Amino acid sequence: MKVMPTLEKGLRIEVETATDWLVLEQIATDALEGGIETLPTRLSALMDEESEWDEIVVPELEDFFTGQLRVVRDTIHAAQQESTDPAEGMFLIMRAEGAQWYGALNQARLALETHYRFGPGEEVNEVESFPPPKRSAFIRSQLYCALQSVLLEHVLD
Amino acid sequence: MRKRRALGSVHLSELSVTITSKIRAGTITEKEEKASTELAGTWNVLVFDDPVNLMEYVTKVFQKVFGYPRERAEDLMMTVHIAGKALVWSGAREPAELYVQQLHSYQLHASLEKAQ
Repeated sequence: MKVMPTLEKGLRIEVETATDWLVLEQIATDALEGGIETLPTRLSALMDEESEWDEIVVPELEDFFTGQLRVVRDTIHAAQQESTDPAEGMFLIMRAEGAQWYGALNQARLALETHYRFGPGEEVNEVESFPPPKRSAFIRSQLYCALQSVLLEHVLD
Repeated sequence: MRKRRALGSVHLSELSVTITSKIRAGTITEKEEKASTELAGTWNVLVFDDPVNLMEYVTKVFQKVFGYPRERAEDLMMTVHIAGKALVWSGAREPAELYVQQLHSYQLHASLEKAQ
């Protein structure tokens, strides 16, 4: 997969293998597998009950976060439909959609962290000892983080 | 939380007028009075460290949400990173709730506490 900034302050993603597509499709899947509690519920855990946070804010945030995942899924799906070769393709992350992509990637990383507990500054040699699902999740998390860094540097204000 | 308005449109004077007129009319209830007292005063907005959010992102969020200059936003981000949490804003309850809601929308771990 190649990731390049565009002149319009967006990103161009070139998909080079079928695995690239699988990893991109996994962003939304990972984001939705953070456990029983949704991200807005986990974020609201520190709020007092009198704030009525769960009734008022959590549903709004759930809609907002679902919208971020929808943008990512729709963009990937449209690019797959347009591609003539099932293992290759390209799509653009427009500047206006940069925050949604960043948010979706963050949701995926937060969910993976909640599920696997990588912790900060995981060493590469420790990753070798991970069981395959955790190792695979860690590598995806690193890729999502790299994409976020590019978005931060070139797309987000 | 009872009602949310757009940030910047919080008029505490309106609340004061409403409460005053209710007291004059003798219609304020004991429950309302207690709730009003509990929510009054200064509230702190706290942000907590987590292993996922990128430092540069947290700095940008503080700049965007609070309008802080880059240097202050970076200082607060470093406090979160090193101390595990930082007090990022203090003031009335209603705007504090709005700030926490915005911070949650950026997926930062944030909460409110009443200032001592």
